[in-house]
Amino acid sequence: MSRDNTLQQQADAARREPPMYRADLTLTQVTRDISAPITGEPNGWWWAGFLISVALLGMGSAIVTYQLNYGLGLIGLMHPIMWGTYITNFVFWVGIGHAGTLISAILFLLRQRWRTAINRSAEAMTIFAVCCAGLFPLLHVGRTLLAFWLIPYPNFRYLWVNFRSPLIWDVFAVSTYATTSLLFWYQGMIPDLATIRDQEKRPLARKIYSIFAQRWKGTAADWHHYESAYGLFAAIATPLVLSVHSVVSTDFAVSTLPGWHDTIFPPYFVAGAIFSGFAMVVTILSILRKAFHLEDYITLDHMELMNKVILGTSMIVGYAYILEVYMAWYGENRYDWHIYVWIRFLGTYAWAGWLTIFCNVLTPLIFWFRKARRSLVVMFIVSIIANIGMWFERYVIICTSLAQDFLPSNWGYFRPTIFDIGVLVGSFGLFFTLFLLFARFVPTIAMSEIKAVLHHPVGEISGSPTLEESHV
Amino acid sequence: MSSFVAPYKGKPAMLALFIDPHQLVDAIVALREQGYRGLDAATPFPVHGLSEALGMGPSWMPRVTKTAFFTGATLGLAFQLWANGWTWPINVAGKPFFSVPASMPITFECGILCAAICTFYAVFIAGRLYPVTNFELLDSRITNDRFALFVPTGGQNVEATERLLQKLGAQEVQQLG
Amino acid sequence: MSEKRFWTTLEDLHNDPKVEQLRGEEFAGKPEEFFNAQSNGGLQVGRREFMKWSAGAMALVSAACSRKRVDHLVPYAQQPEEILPGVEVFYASTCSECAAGCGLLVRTREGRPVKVEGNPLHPVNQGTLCARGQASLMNLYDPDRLRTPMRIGRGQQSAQLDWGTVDKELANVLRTAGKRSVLLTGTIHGPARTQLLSDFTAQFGTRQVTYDYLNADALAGGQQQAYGAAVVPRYYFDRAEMLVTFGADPLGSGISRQEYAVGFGVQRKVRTENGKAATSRTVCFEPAMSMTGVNADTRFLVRPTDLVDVALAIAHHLVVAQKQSSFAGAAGVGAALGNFSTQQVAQRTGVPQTQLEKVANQLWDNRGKSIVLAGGLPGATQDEAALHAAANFLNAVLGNEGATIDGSRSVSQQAQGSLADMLALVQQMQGGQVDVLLIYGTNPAYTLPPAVNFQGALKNVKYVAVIGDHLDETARLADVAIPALHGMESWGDAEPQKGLYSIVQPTILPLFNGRSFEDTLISVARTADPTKFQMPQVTPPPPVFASEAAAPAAGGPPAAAGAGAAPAPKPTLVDMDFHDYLIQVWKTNIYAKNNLAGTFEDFWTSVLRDGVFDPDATRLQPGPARKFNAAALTSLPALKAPRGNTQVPANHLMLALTVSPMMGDGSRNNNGFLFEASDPVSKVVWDNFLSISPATAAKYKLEQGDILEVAVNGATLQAPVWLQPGVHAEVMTLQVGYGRQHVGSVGDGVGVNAYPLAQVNGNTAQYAGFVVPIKKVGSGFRLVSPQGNSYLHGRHIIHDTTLEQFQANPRAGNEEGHEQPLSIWDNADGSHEHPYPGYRWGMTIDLNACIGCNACVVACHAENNVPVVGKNQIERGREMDWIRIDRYYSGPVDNPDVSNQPMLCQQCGHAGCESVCPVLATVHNDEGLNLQVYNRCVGTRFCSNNCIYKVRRFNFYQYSDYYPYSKYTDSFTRFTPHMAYGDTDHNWRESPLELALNPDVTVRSRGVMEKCSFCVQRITAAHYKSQELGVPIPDGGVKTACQQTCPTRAIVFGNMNDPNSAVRRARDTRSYRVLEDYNFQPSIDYLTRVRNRAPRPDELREKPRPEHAEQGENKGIHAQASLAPAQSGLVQLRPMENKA
Repeated sequence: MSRDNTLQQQADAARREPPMYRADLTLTQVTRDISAPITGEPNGWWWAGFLISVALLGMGSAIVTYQLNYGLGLIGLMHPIMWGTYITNFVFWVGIGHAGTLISAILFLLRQRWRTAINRSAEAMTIFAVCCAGLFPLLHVGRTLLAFWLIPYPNFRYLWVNFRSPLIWDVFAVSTYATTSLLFWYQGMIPDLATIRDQEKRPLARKIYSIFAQRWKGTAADWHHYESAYGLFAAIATPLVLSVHSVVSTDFAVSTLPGWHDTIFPPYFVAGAIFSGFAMVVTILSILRKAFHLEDYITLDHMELMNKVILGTSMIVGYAYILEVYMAWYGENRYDWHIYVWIRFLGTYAWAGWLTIFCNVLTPLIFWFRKARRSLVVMFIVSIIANIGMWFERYVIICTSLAQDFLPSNWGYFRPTIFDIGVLVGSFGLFFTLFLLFARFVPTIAMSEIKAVLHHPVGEISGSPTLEESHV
Repeated sequence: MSSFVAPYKGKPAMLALFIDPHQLVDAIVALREQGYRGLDAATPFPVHGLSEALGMGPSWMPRVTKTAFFTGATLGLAFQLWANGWTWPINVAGKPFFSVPASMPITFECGILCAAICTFYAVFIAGRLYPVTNFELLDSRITNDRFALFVPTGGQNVEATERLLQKLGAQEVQQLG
Repeated sequence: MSEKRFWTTLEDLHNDPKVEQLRGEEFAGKPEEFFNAQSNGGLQVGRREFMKWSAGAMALVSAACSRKRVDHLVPYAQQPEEILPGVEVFYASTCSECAAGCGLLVRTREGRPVKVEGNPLHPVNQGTLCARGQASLMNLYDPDRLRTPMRIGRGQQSAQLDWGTVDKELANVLRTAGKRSVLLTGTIHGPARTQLLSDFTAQFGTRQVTYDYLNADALAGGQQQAYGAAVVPRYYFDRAEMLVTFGADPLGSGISRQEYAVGFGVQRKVRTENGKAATSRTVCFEPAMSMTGVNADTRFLVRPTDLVDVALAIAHHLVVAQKQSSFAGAAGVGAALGNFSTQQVAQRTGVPQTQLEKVANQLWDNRGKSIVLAGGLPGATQDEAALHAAANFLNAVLGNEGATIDGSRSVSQQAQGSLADMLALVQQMQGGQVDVLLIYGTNPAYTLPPAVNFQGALKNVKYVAVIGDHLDETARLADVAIPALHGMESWGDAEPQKGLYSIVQPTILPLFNGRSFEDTLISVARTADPTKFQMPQVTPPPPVFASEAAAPAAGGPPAAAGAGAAPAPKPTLVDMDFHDYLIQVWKTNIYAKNNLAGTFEDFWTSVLRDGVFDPDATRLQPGPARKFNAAALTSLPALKAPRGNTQVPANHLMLALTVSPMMGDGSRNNNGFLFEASDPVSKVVWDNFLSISPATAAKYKLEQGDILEVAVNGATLQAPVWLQPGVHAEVMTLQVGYGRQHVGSVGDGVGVNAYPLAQVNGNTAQYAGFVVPIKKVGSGFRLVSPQGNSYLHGRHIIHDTTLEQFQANPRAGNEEGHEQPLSIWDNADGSHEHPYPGYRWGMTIDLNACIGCNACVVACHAENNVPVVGKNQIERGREMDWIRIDRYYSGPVDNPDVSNQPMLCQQCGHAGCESVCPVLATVHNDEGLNLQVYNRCVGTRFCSNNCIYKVRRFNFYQYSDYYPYSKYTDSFTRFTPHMAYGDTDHNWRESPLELALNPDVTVRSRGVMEKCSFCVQRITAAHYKSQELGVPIPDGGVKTACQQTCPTRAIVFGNMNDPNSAVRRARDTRSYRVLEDYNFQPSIDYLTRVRNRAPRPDELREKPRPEHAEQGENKGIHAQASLAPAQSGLVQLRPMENKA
């Protein structure tokens, strides 16, 4: 079959799909709707959310200050379990971040038109999640002020880092990821910032947006390079996002510990990251679209598609859980068996193991039903459960494996303290503070892309899907 | 490429605003057929076919990205070899001072980082983007809902051009310069 | 020839006229120009004027300010010959922690002791030292020590006194009281010290009474009955191929336990005899697991009251049933043993008859080379005398008397205290017959049961003075409390066994305003009578320079000077201090025993150098056998009515007190090192507890941490429950030595004081055999153990076998693994591994020899500045031990086998920690050491996660500042470390504790990892020495701290590259590496434990036990190593299974 025929068939199929957006949306309307939160005054809900988030952030900061003053002993770490909730939080937040890149890059490459409604906020989520994630290794190391030693900076002693250590891989991967995501996000935002700049009446705001809009004019040449670069960014970010969580997984997979030393970790972690990331996107967007009246842009169709992704990745994760047990059995390694089966599902940590299974494998099964996929209440609850489950998945991986390893004399049991919990809650405070500021000051939906899709319902626009189908 | 920056202080020109991108593209094609040169267009979103209509070649961005990626990766690998294997080899866990597989994650990340930064700045350079506090477009609707066409007239055939543009669907035509 | 010319510049050389001109001026740079030239903008003052002003200004400045204190650093104006800064000096001395009198080498740096080690020349401890000895540094530098004489006024006052007042007051009261004064001391031996005591008491007519925390008068009484003299015999454990104990715990709480442990280790090593592998055999009959029981090949659980029966049953089997030995058919013996046939006793006690007979037969096979030992607190029932009689009888029957036991010649003097004397003294006090009581080195207010009413009796004494380290329980009841010095600050001597003389040398000036006990005695005696304790001094020291002597007196006629030397000074009397007295006594009494030629000075120098003088070669052999008096056996009333059928009703348990192997009698309790080193049996830290068997606890629905109230004849206390496998089902035990009320901020209130539970019957104290009701009064007490789990879970971590199997197969128990280590890397030269030319350090640890005594743990703490973190931190899993003793149970839960495994950094060749450290803070050096670079560490802790042995420790807080941290903190302070580590507690910074830090080892800061370094500072020192001498480091040239102190020589360290090194020679068919198949290539080999007993049926099975057979306890609560298997029912409790 020739390529043309295929494209034609796909285009026909796409035309048969119901349109993603309301038919009567105009460009002017799009600009007005999406820039409304920016140019207007925030409502009470925003203020309430912001104050709560800032309060949580303040509490987290106070706890962190206290911990930096007195030492890591305040959190629940103990002799065998040297990594606890901080690393759990790190992996959790990095994982959350993945959905953003996935939506903006991978779905872009796959020509998924529906991404345009959510990619901006998903990318923002990525950035803020990586911000939260990046804090934890800093708080986690014993000598936070010397954490910069992990960076191979030139020094007169020629003392470099150990490039063999997965933690150094982490440093490179996470910082590259943070940088690339930020650049990608910002670059995609410049046209929209220019739109805001040109709509903004207040002089100071106009100046500020003018700075960030970087003299964007929207000329044909600008768009020409912009689109090319956007595609390249997507092409870079796709392997990057897969590599980042793979590298994070090597923090565990490269070690010798039963429960960590596992070759399926990289794909398993990436799937888990997508799962939790999409769940977080669903959680946030189901609030955002209500709060900022963006139901016309983030439609139920969008949400349903994301729920399908959640369902799919949850099954991959479930498969990985089964595979771990299977390999422990097949490998006849008594230490692995002890961790994977005895500790996680029958013994000390059975509560956490089954909680993980319940949240990550069983609960998302409800998305097999179309009704559930399209119910905001259901998806909100399921997405929150999924994120709780994914936090506990990391908790189970980290703490159970460390708790009962080779020599029984070492065994221990991890009990988080109020500091562990406080810092986790504080990180949510940071995340939502940043996100609410984002929603207030930056267009939460990529206006230019929406406009492109509106004007070219069937992809003729190279900046967004050319030929698309609305299924995953 | 400062043709859309207000106040416009270049040679006499004409600014036509369209409400339909298709009309804009068609207008460009028509104008170019009639011998107009130096046309420029500005749109609120990337309009397919616009760059082709204006006669632009393929973007040089991919070359930047590719070069940057391989440069970054090579430097990353070389640095690891030099640091761990050359300048101060240390016996770590009885392993060889340097081994390629263990160096791959960082090599890859270095390449990506370099590619991302270079691509990002390449867009800035290509579009002459830099932060200013008082930027104004010729018409603020260009980034919102209008599709602008910039036609340098050199002060000749002004009225004919205006008529032509209106005929091609321009909603508004302004004299510049 | 031209004149030599000096020139300064090239211009000068070339005779530039400008130079000529300049030469005429004072300054080449023309300073006048600078000061005067207005055009230059310079100062408008003349140069000389400027100088004047400056001088004036300086004068003003000086006048206006107070004088700055000038501190001079004077590094040894005259440097002592033997002290070099940075170079250690060892002084030989004697340990003062208990009366055992072990020899010490005190390592000093810049005039302060920083570590104590055993003196290799000393026959008692032979270079080793127990945990308490290792911890003695903490007692020396204890900030809570009594620093100055105090008037206490029976607890009503607190005022400082000066020494003059003390001397006058004591002299007065003693003179007045005369014979109505008593000097109450703990055990004191040593020729000079005993001589001084008798001189002192003779002067005032004072009577001396000796009473220890724990007294051996029951043992001595048994000896008196059996042999006619109340002595504590000396036991030759190194000659005993079989050891049978009845309640005694020689390794944990023996009178001279370090000596016993050294001897035990000699016999315990697997050796070849007659072409067959051999090792000693240890059989313990005991109510609960003791440290000896941990090391027993076979343990029998026997109630305290049944110990007599069991001992007599063995005697019956040998003498009556088998008619062995000369006692067979002796008058009365048969009748006395009549009730104790093995069959009867087996019925009464539950110990199988066959096993009793087997032990008896084995003893007979080992006659003359075995020791039967009875006693200990668990044996101190009402029938204690009978138990000792039975043990003595058995030793006599077996011919051990005179072969492994010396009761006639070089007997032990290490336990002279007598409860009977003390009780008599209390009677006299009660009756008002004592006016003055001087107490030193003992603490009756802490140890005597309340029924004795020591405190009441003390009220009838007019004047009480306590000389001691702390303002302890007794000192608080006194009129005055007088500080004494620590053994490392004072002169002294010791005679732990008759004919063995040991010296105590001070190694540091007194830290506080203290004075040694002996000097106080001398000073008081001289104050009372100035003629006493004077020594004639004939001449002043001769002038150093002849000219000085010849110099004329100022103003005197020169002729007088020329007349000759000054007239000889008249003999004067000078005050004698104890140092002089000591030398005098040794010169008079001991020097004569010296067979070698030489002056006394030579002799004295050699004594100070060696620390010990052991002139009697016959001490190597036990003295002649004494004749056993059969009446000792036949006359005992207890034998007529055996108590073996004492019933323990439901809801009751039989209580036995025991002695803590770590804290001992409780005399030196302000010591964080000892509290933190876990109990060798239970692995609990910072507490004592009621040990109850898991089955019994399940039966009475008791859980770990439940608090029981124990009442014995009016004395009650509350103590938490600990579920301890290997405790008799009807027994619970409680350790004495805890619960000090007034010893210092570390020891106060740790645990409960069990001494008051002792019951005084006549002249003896009963410590065991009380039937007490179970009364639960609380729950949830946090008993804390650093050991997470005590079962092996089918993991092949401990390799063990039985002697029989080992004789058949030298690889028995050690068949698995040992494949050639693999490497996935190929180096350029084709080799797989980094080369370690020169040295490669390694260690071999003999699991058969390790008795789990914790000496290595404490030695490591002292050597490597390892902090004490306290109970709360240990509960949260933050113990800092660089070496720990993992203790695993195997076999039946009610009476398990125990295996000790010292676990420290294995210095792996392919260390998991290194490859994951991001900052290269842990790397390998050229000698195979796995280094930890504290400065570089940022504390990611990945190394610990990837360490399969989990031997790395993390500084969660600035532990080095907060030492030793308080034991108990409430939930609030749990989150406020500045309060938890509060100002009231000591830290390393607090004077004088910081002096104990080893200057060769970095004090780690918060946030870094630390771990065993194989004492890299010692290796480095050896390298320096080797470079200095130009020879390679010899085998044994580096001893790690743990190796150095190990009583049984279980740890061997050395260069693995040298095939003749001890560490290589120690490796044989028994050697294995823990988790070998992970290919970390550890540098430490362990040697399979060989148990000298018949294999249990389950051990004959080839198949390893199924995984999780012993699981059950996956509550995994780190700090409370739970013993849930019995509770959870996952483990089928087998009936008591005693195999011999």
